[in-house]
Amino acid sequence: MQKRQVNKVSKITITLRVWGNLPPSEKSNHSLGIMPTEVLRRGERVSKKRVQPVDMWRFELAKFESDSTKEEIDNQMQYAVVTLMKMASALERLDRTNCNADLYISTIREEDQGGFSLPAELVAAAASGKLSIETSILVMLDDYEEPEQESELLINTH
Amino acid sequence: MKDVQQIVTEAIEDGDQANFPNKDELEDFEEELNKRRDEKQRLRRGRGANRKDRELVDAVAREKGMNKTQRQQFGDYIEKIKRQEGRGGADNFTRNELLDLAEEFLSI
Repeated sequence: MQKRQVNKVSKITITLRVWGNLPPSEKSNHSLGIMPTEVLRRGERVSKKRVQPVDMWRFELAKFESDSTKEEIDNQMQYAVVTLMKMASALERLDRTNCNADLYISTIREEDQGGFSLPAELVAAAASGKLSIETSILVMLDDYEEPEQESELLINTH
Repeated sequence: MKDVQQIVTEAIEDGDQANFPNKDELEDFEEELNKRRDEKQRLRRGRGANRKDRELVDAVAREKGMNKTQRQQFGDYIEKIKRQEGRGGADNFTRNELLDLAEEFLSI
């Protein structure tokens, strides 16, 4: 497979999220017909300081980088489309008064310009499951200046 | 609550050192300032927001002494937590939240 020549790498993750007040995990798994990538329950301690604010059921549909081949990206998008189409009726039946469902696209970009495209089939599959589309973009250019080490500061001040 | 400028102005006008802001008043003011800064940040949207957020992420990373690799992994961590918490795409972390996340990330 031929890799495209791109100096900076951007990462894209596409996730199906169902969150809010959810029934027990087993029931969600059964009604959605798939095992999730991750389940978190509201009130669960997720770190020393943080408590999970909502019930979260999520399934990772695609994950690729800007230097992935077109074939790799197409395969992942196809997998995402097929998965969402299979789940469409279950997603549509979800009680939206208690939960939200979205297609969450997260991208971390090392380029100062660029973008990504979603195939029409993916947008249609999301619409058939009544999913809103959320996009989160974090730009992390390669211009970060590391803080000076304490030892360097000491050297500089003497 | 009086703001610090008002307190200092009154103290100067009165020539009374007793009216000068005490430690508690200064702490209250700092807390209020942080709240307002967070609120302003939450309301900030549109062009330039992402650049400022990146600068914020970098500033927090520098404040916590992260090297380039850690800062890059911190970016991944921020996105992961945002995804897990059910936040919307534009529902960004505030400076204080990022500082907490940075401590959490570095303790892993």
